[in-house]
Amino acid sequence: MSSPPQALFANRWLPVLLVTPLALLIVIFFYVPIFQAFYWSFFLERPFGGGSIFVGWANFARVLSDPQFWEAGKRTVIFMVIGSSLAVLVPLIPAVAADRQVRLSQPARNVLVWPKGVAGASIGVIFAFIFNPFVGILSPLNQWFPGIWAPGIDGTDAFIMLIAAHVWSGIPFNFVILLAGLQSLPRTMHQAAAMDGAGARRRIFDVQLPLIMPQVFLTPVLEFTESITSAFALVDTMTKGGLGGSTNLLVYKIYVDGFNGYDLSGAATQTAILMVFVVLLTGAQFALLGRRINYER
Amino acid sequence: MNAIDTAIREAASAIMLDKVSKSYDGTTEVIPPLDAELRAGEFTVVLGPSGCGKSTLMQMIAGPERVSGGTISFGTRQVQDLEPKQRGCAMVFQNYALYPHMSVFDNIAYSLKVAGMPKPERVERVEAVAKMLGLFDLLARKPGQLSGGQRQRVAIGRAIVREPGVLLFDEPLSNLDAQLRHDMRMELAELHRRIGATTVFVTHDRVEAMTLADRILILNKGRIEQF
Amino acid sequence: MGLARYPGDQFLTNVVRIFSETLIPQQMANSLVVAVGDALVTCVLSFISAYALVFFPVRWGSVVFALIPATIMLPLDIRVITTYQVASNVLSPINALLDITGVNGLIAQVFGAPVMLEWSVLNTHFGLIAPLVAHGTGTFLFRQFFLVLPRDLVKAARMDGAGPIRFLFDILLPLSRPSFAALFVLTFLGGWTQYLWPLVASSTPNMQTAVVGLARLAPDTEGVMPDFPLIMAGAVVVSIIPLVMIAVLQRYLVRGLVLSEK
Repeated sequence: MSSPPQALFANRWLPVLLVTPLALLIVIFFYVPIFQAFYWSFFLERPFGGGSIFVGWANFARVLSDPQFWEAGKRTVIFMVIGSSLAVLVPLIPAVAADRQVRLSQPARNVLVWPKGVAGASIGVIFAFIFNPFVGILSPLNQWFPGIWAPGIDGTDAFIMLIAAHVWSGIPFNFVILLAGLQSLPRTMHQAAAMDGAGARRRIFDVQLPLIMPQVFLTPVLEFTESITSAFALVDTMTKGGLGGSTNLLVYKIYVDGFNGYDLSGAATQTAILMVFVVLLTGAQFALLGRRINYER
Repeated sequence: MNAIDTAIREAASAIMLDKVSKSYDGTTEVIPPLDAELRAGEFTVVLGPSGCGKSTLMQMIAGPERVSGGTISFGTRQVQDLEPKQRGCAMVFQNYALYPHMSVFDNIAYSLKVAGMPKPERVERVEAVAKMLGLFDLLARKPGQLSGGQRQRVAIGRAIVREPGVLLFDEPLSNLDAQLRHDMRMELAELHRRIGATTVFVTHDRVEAMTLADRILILNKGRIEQF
Repeated sequence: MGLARYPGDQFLTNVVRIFSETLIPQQMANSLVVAVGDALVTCVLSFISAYALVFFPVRWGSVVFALIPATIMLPLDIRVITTYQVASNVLSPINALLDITGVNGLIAQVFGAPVMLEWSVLNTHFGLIAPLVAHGTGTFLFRQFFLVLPRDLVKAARMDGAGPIRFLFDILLPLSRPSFAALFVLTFLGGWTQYLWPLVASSTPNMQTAVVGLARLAPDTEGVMPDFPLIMAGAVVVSIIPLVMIAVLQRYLVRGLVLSEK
């Protein structure tokens, strides 16, 4: 650690005592489950006890040869990438536009962070209503072109609905974060650029955007983990996986396989694969970001 | 002359450094074994470039930093293994290190409170110190509402309220502007004349050293060049 | 069937129905217990562990810190299957340890049966809260804050005679109030909006949280038109407490979010 070796309290047992409760919780409810997921992926686990048999890589072979797994995996990646980038890019435009024109009033900010307090599941039931083909906002469309909007039957429609709900819940909040980032840039930077002859539009691309790149890139990193959490709630409340698994994302599939199908080994194996994927992805992002976008201010 | 002045004058003790050394990793010595005697009631300035070990030396005298070897005595008491609070010395920090959430009164009174002094006595002491330093009207304010010079005085008040035998200053004037620095120097000299504590003052500023010191100790790369 | 886009008098009727016909009021009490419990326990434990790691010269500090990033990358929703198994018997790791080390074999020989400890926290408030607390974000947040505090503050406190506990309560705690508030709002909202964990960890409707209860208002069978007015009224009722929370503590929320991004 970077802290200098001075002025610290010299006490052997007090720090141990202080760290223990949280460390214990993290070990029991975080590391043991993770270890168990990997452990089970090498065993065939009977759902109602009765022991387990070591099967080597058989579980992985079974999961990886299952086309449904690949479908769900592919959809998960698409959901994460499209959802997260839209949730950041859509609010970026108004944030840049708003940067110099408005100081966000306290009430306005207040309203904009509201979606943070609405649970993913609540958003799910609300959007299920809004996008309901018979009574929702798109129902007039169905009166003119029967069957054009049918998320219950059409997988693409259902997927669009899912992403829309996810992005909606992220936009206002990311807007606040990005705007805060923009407004923390020194005003002199704008003036200097203006003195250099850069017009308003040039300044956006030459000054504002490069300088808030850290936020622009970091927000999706957080969005990724966020999207996994929000994904389950949205799928479960809106589409239940969709017709023929058209919106069956990996988190939802794991839940269904494990809790409804009692395939503990299969669910554990998919969990292990998903965890490795997520850690690699976030790890890569952090490594990339840590190196590339680091301006001295 | 009031009670605090006399109490400090009586408590003032000599500081003996006997083969004091410091090393963080056990091999490279920041301060090689060093001997010095600072006489009771004297104002000693430790002068040296930054990184010469003068702050480390001061921290070892004050207590937050432990010696790696040798002994430190205040008068006849060996103190190098004592906790800071048991040594009977006080310190004024470079950035004052005032508690931002406490009023001036609470900042000055905190050490007395920790020591378990009853409230009436505490109030009396703090008010005496505040009057001496011209802080009496500011006692209810928070450090954030004070000017640089006022904060400096609070930091000094906090140090002398405990009637320490040894008073340590760690570059306390380096954050002030030139005019204020000059004024504070005068004030410090005046204060020293009144209370007569054994004072160690660390700085890299020659002028400061000349105007304040009874004796100057020049430190370079952990060694005494002149004393 | 028409769609009323404005809350009319029917809205109030439906709110009354939420309170009289559904379990949502009781489930909101559960949500409150979970959210407040999560937030309080997270704040306190994160605060003291960050304090231990920053202000004491602990050699094992970096080992503890190495445990944290993974907890931020892998949310509970990913590891729900095995977390559920652990929660169904928190002592199972001890059983496994006894098995592997062979202690259990010995015990079985001497006493006739191996030790099989069992303690399920499923369907309890503790079980709903504990896995949410198993997270290192708070520790990180407080550490960030502690590291920017002036170093001399500790020295000054020590010179004033304050020991580690006094320093913790007299100096550090009052200074950390804004960070506390930020982390509290963040974890409160996180606890309130949890869905998957309370869904699987509670087996009876009166242990479920309000968000789960709300989602259960929709019929499970395909093709049945849900009672949308009732569900919408429910969505509003369920969201009121977190929204009030945001309205009151918005300043700290934004601050906390900006901090936790760093």
